[in-house]
Amino acid sequence: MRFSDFALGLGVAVFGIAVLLHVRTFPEIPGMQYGPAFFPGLIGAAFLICGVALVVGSVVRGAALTERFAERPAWFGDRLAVWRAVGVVLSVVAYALVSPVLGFLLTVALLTAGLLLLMGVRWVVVVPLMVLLPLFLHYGFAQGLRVPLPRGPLELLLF
Amino acid sequence: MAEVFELVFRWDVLSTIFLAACYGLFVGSVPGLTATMSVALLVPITFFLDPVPAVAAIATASATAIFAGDIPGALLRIPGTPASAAYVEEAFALTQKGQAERALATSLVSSCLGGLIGVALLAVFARQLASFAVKFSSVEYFWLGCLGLTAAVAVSSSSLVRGTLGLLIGLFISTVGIDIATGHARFTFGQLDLLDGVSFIPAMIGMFALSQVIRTVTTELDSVVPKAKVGSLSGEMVRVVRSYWKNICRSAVFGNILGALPGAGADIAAWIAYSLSKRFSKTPEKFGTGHAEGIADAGAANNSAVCGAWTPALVFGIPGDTVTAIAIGVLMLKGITPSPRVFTTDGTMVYAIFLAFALANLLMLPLGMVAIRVARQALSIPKRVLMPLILVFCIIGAYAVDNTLFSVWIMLGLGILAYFMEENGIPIAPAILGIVLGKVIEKNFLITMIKSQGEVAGFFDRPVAAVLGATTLLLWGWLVVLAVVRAARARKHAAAT
Repeated sequence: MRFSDFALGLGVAVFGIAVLLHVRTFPEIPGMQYGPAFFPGLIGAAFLICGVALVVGSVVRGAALTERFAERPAWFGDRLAVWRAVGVVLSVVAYALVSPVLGFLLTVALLTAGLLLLMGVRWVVVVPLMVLLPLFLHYGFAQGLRVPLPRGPLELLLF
Repeated sequence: MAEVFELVFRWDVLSTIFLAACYGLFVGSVPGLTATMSVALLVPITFFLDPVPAVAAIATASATAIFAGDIPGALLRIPGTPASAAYVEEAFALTQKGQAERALATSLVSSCLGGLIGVALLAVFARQLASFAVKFSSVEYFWLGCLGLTAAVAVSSSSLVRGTLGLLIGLFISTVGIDIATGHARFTFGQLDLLDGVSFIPAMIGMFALSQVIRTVTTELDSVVPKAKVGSLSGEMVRVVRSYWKNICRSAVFGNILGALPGAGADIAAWIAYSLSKRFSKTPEKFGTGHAEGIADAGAANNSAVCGAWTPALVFGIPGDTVTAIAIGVLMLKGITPSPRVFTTDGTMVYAIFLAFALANLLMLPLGMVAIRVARQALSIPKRVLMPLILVFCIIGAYAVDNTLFSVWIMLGLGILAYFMEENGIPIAPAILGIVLGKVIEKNFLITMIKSQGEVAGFFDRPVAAVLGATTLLLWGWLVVLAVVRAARARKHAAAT
């Protein structure tokens, strides 16, 4: 999603104002001018300035209202591409939500298979990868590097 | 010196360097996967290694990835990493003339020599800089941090406002978590996991790897297989060194200095070295038609820049590029605190890192030749298969750093953020420097303020600090003037048409 200078500037300026308002709730150090709010406040103000600069720039160029606020990327027209992007994001979400219940092996096997199929890879390639990749990663990270990967039914059965 | 050799010439270190070199060559030669991404994905594994192999792995992977970026550049006209973009046309023109071996041999030998000269310069410069910088106090560090951030914005290819926006996003992320002065939790919104701040490695993996995965699956999923034939390499390499050794030396020195500037990494070094090469060449008319001279210059410059970036990283803790931004995190984790005293406190370790770097560059010669031969196979792995695997690595990598699922959420959030930033022309590199330097700048600002009891004059009352401060302020002024002039010119141009 590509935003016009005007829209981007507005968004950035609003964010800057939000930061400035929020840092007012930070405590002050008695007798000190510069507390926890100082640095974030400075950043908030700089966001505001950048936002205003973008808006003013687009108004001066006369593009403020003629330009579309947001340009859809070309791949939005390709339904498969959209699904692939959604699939990528959802699989990260799915790992975060599901892996504590299903365990590492099962979650990664399902995610690998799902993603590969979504990319249009044939089953002949998908099946060996969905079996070998989780085992390989489990071997490397859990056994080799001693990372406590989430355990599920398959781990209990195998290890 | 014997201790240094003992630290490096151990089977675990040597095998780590070998594996990291293979990994770097692979990642670099796949278009769309950058050197920084290779390092970001490597970090979770370095967590579990000893300090020397850990840092050696990072140095090796980055050096070899930068060279390997030239392979698809020469064969397919697709640069494997942004650092190869400067001379991709030149290399491909050679391939089209049926001289792929000349293009690739030039890249390989100039990368190797550039890297070796770069390491030598790094060892000399860093030592000199460190002995000078021992006297630095919080004020100098504050200004150095500011100067680093300003340089990062100045060299970013986009507009001043967008470069600054990238920087501000990074600085803002660095303020999340407990405030150093009062212990107040800032922008955590009740999330206990955020008290320590946004963890850096998941952030890197998200911003470099996940965003790239999203971009690839949406726009560039279909890859091509190279058809070019590659002839004998070793003979070409000798010829290249004989004709262009002066260019290689000159550009290695130049690239090293550029690499040491925060924000100006290997890609910028390559662009500038290529254009300088053309300007100083006796046969500038041959440039663009498949002429090895520019490739020799730029190839040496980008690999030397990779080494140069370590100078400020080791001495000041200020990264010279995005790879060293990640490396600083690993150094700290391994108990090596970057500072001017690093040569006294961890001298052996630092020299061991230099030696590992040199070894990596030497190893690149034989491995690079193999990589060029097998590139056809690596390049023909379809991205439809590669992308899901990289995504799974991203998830595990983010999780393995501190074994919390929260890191996976951070990776996702910042990955999507980075995707939107790039879509809107906001550069990522200043954001990374902002995340690394934000806390440094704030801490040194507060210490200086407390020392000078709130007097702004405290920022200029030491000679070095005054020079650094004045330089920073002048640079800011110059950037603003430049932006205004550019805007005015653009308006005039628009009015004229």
